[in-house]
Amino acid sequence: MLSPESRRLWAWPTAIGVLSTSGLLSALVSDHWGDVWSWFALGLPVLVMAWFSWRRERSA
Amino acid sequence: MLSSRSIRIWTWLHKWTSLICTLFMLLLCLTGLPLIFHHEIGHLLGDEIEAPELPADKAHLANHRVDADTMIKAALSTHPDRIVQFAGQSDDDERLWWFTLTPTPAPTDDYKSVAVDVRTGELVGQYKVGEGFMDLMFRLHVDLFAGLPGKLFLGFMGLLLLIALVSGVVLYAPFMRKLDFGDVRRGRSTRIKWLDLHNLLGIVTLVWLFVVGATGMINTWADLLVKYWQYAEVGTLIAPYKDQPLVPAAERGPLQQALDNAKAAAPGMKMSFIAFPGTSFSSPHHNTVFMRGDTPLTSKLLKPMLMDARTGALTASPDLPWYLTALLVSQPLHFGDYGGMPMKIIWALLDIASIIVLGSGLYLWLRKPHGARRAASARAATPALEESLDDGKQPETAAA
Repeated sequence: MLSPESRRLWAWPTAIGVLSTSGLLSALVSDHWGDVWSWFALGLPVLVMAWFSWRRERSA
Repeated sequence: MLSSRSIRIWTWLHKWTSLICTLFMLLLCLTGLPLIFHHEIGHLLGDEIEAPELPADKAHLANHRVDADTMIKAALSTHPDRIVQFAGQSDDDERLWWFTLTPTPAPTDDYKSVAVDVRTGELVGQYKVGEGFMDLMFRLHVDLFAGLPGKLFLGFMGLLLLIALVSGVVLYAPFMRKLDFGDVRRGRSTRIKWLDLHNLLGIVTLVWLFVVGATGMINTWADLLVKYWQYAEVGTLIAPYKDQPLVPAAERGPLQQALDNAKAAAPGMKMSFIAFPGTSFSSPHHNTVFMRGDTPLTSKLLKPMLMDARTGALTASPDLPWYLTALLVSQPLHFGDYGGMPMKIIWALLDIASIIVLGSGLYLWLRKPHGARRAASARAATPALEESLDDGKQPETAAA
């Protein structure tokens, strides 16, 4: 099984990867709610990048 | 846990696959950006053709549909010395059909594209092809003006990108062991800050970039896949016609008859486009009518109906082989044009993030600390790795 260390490291990347995949596929198979889901599932990673890129460093 | 030796190998792989493809990938990301919005840009530039409003004396024709043969005549009237290779209904305007006119049925870059009004059978206009800003973007993105070799070369660069992505993921762990997700160390050197941003944006865009890269690579093989299909499958279907020359235009039956027969044989499907005799998507003896479904997924899947060019009768309607199905399904995943305008905007933002990943990767290599370009010492997996860990302490992986 995964060590706690690996789990801590891969939790976010895995969640974002699964979310992106679901968004890429949902719009392919459904035109209405599938599109809406894809905007959320692909838009959220964009927001995550923006948030972490622009946030000020926490004081250690 | 990776041993220091395997970290060195993955680092080497990531560095060289990235470096070789980076400049081409930057070009593809930059040219791809306007291509995401080619439709909207074409509209702004006035390159799109719209069906005219019918004058009062023709208003009764609003729901009228002329037959395909009338439309062919109108299309050819613009270039009487050419032949029709392909034709189909416009995706954007049901009142228009487009026709591709070329000197011969052979594949060529020398083509004209015209629009005909299905209500009146009159010519509406000629599309701009092979000129302008968008065409430049398209050619740079698709084949670098070098035809099939150019496509295959870019496909190979795509393969290198995929290897760079996989090796990047492997290296993510040793780099991030002392950091939380999304940490960007701004208090250290500029290089450390960009290393952290490279890792953050790289891991978040990973799935999207992998999918776009892989489907782009598959797209570069499209010509070859179609050629193979011709050779392997269409060849056997048209064996009865073996050794017969291309059916001359004068001996061809009405196209409308062939279309009606195709529609009757494929209930519930819509016509996507027609490939005329002798062209790359047909045989010398057939008009091949490509039908498609009407759900989001099945509309991407084409069904070829080979209609005898003389009689208009159905000869065969083979199922598309798996490799062409894979190609057709993968195309929207490359273009990002299947989820409305919000998806296109997100596609563009992810593209820009990828440009930053590529650019920062290049910067990290160019700004390596002194001496780091020499072979890394056996103690430190990579200078960058060593530097990225706090206080220059040896990573435990290297001590292993």
